[in-house]
Amino acid sequence: MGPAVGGHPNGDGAGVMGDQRDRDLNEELLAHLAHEIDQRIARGETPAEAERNARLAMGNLTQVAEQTREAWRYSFLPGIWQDLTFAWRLMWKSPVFTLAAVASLALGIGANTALYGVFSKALLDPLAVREAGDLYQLTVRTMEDKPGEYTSSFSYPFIQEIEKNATTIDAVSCTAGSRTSYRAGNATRILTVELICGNLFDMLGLEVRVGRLMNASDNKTAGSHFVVVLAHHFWVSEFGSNPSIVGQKIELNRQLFTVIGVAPKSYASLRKGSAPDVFLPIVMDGVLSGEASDTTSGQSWWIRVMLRRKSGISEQCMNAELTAMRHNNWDRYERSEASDYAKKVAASAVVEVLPAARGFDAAQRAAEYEKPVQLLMAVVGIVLLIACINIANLPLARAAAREREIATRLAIGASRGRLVRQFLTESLALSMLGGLVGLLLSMALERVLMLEAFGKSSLLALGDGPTVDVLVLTMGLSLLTGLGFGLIPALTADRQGIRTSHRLTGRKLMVSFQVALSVLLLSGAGLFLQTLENLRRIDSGFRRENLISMAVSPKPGGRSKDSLLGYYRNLAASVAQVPGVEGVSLSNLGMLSGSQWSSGLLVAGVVVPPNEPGALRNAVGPQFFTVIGANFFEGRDFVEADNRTTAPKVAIVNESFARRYFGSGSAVGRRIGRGARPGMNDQPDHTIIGVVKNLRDSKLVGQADRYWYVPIEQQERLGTVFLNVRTRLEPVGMMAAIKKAVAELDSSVPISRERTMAMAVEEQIGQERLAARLSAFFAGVALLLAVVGLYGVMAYTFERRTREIGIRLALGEARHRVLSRILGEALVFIGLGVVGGVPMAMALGAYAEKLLYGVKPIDWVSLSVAVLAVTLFGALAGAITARRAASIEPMAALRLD
Amino acid sequence: MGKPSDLVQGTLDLLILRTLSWEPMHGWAIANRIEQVSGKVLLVQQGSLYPALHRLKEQGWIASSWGESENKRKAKFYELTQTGRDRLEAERQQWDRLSAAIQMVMEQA
Repeated sequence: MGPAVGGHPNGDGAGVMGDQRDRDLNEELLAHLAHEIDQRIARGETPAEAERNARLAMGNLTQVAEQTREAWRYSFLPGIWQDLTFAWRLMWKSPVFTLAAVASLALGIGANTALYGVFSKALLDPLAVREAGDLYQLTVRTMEDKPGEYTSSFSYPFIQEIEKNATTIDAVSCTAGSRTSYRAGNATRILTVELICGNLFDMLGLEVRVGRLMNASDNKTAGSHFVVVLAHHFWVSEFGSNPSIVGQKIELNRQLFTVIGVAPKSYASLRKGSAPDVFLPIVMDGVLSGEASDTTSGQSWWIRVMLRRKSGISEQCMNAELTAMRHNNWDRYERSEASDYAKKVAASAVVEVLPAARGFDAAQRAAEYEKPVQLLMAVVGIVLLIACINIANLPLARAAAREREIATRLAIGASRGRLVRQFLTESLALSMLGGLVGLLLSMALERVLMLEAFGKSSLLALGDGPTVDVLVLTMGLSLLTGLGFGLIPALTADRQGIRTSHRLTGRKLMVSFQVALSVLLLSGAGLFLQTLENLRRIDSGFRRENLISMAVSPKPGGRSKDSLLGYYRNLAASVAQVPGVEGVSLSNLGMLSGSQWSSGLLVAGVVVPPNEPGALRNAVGPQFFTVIGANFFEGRDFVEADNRTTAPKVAIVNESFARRYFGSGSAVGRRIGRGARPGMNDQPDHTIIGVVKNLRDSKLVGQADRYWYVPIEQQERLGTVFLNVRTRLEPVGMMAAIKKAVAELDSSVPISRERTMAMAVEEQIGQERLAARLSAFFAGVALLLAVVGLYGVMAYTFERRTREIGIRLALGEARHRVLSRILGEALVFIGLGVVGGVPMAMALGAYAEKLLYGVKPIDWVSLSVAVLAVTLFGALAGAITARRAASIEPMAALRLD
Repeated sequence: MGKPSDLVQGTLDLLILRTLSWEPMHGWAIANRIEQVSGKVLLVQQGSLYPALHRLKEQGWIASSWGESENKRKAKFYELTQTGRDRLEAERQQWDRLSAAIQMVMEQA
């Protein structure tokens, strides 16, 4: 008899249950209509009239049904929407409170998320390859290795042997780092290369999108496979992601290589954090070095090896088989020329396969970063804790204003559960908002952290943007803080509203705790800042001001040894002509480049123990020590005449070298030489002509090692050399002119790693700078948050005591006494915090000792500055409250309520 | 309380609970009863009545079942549950307090 009441346009409650429910409602409303009509007929209306009037009275049936369905919708989460809009209105109405709370949380959560994101990407996440859990790195340990140390380099013949004979593995593959010059148009520059065994991409199960990946047939004969696979980031930046690059040729080391494909974006390198530009077959190594290929030598150990375990085989089985193979291999290639000591070392060799799901040397990397990571995690954790205390305390500070609202709501029948829910909704809304802002913050922070901690290439290698587990972590943290700290005020609400004792001792002790944590972070920051400053001022034994270093790689030009030496001489001469240049000298290893090179050693008249690590060595040009500003203990610098292949062999040693082998006697005139290499008939044929003060010329920090220097032209293998340029003018501005002079000499020679010494120092102290900056930043944040917390609680106390203060003032108490009592109270709680914070700060110092440089773990300067800053800012917060209290008009205060 | 639309939500709930405390009723009868008892002052519109009934049911204060009305028509009958009875008692005391308070304020003015 009646029309249909309509479907459910909003799709709510669709499905069988929903349809049933809709039909039910429809019937119910039609029954209502029928009853209305019945009644009207009974009253004497005609059926037609009755139906018309009933419909009029009932109004729009569809609308009634719609309104009723709304009731179902809310029934799932009754009133949540109301709570949310209410919470939103409250937040909007007190922007300062909201800002303080949201900013507290955003900083706390953002910092935690960013740090977790960085370290999970850099250290924890497995490689994005097929069954990463089955990958193992091949390493070998001998009696010479200390615990935790191992050798990870192997010869190519050994790898081929493993591939052919090993039964405990599914596959073996390899990588080695290298560099190449790359010509694009007129510019030549240096690219980083990963030399790989042909089956690497297959073994890792990588899928190709563009072109094809390398396979075993691309890596057969030394020097004859001119193919290259581009790294994804290089393809994007250099070729604008153009797929038609496949099949074209690019020029590497003056040779044309055919691009066969592009590696997938998910794969950068087996060494986490590095991002090579191109992948080449490892048998092409000779084309890059300009020498014979090392892949044919059983004595060259230079390749990292990755294994895939055969399923069901234990690590012990692999170790046993590979150890035996290692001994066979050594016997075949090295035994005939080895010394007795070397035989003893070789006999002790044991192969150990290391799980490599996270790439090569994962455990070592993790250990290296363990302490800084723990410390930073602790720092950001503390910041979050301080923020949480604020989230718990700040609503309380506002509660005074809401007391009446809550009392009213209780009076008109709000249940306690309902109030608890309201509080929870509010704190959850706050924390979710904080979490959201925190997430945005963490994304920015993560990039900065990644860059500072692991360098530019890490962004390419590890990618940026939040991962799923980081998102889960952020939301989890937000929920936890919201729940945890919303429950406390919620549960203390009762019939009288939010019940709080007037003295609020617990709350104030929490503020004291915040103060203590601030002292801890501030003094920690002091330690790291001083460390950083000390490192920047470190005496490296040479003058770092106005000193430029850059690498020049003429080798790929296919020059003969003689023309190479001629090039070096011309290079030094033309750079010396650049206006503003005071002096130029070449060196084989760059200043503060972090690279070192050691070799065995013979000292005439001294028995060097066979197990003594080789001395460090560098080859340098004439006037090198004068140019860099080093000091001589005795003897002289190299001169032009020393720097000839035909000149008598001479050497300069450092102080540590002289002390170790010649004690307090003079070293000048003594003879030294490279250590007994198999088949080389080495003699101590270099005469020492000078002793220099120890230089920290490769690394800033670390023990001064024994060092010897030889003239650069007497060096056997030379390729890339470093220009060391002393300028009269500001060095950064000089860089371009110097590069121009190099290019004018030969534009095909690539220049790389150009930097001033100040830049080189900053590169070396990246970790310390990160620690100092982060700890200073977060200590500032912590202090700010603690002061906000202190102010909040003080303001609340004051609000509660307005009447009391009014009475006191009315009775004639002097305003300054009111002021000083409130200020005094604030100071008591700050003092408590300081007393608690100082021992914590001392403990932190002791824990962080290894990360400090030139600072005692218990550093009174840092501690005093921290205590002073906390007290000052805390007192300021107290003073603002106290001033407000003291300026109360007694009558106004008494009229309240 | 002149117009029915002025009925605040809580009050309508209270009225429905009170009406059902006499006997189980269907929707039309509830509206009719409230209208009769209030001397035609409180007119309950369907747009308020059915959402309220369904909300009260969701909260577990009333239960519903299909039955036959006095006119021999199929109709959905609502009755109070035990928690509904407790709720009514609480709401009623609350109402007494509130109306007494309002009364006092009004008399004073």
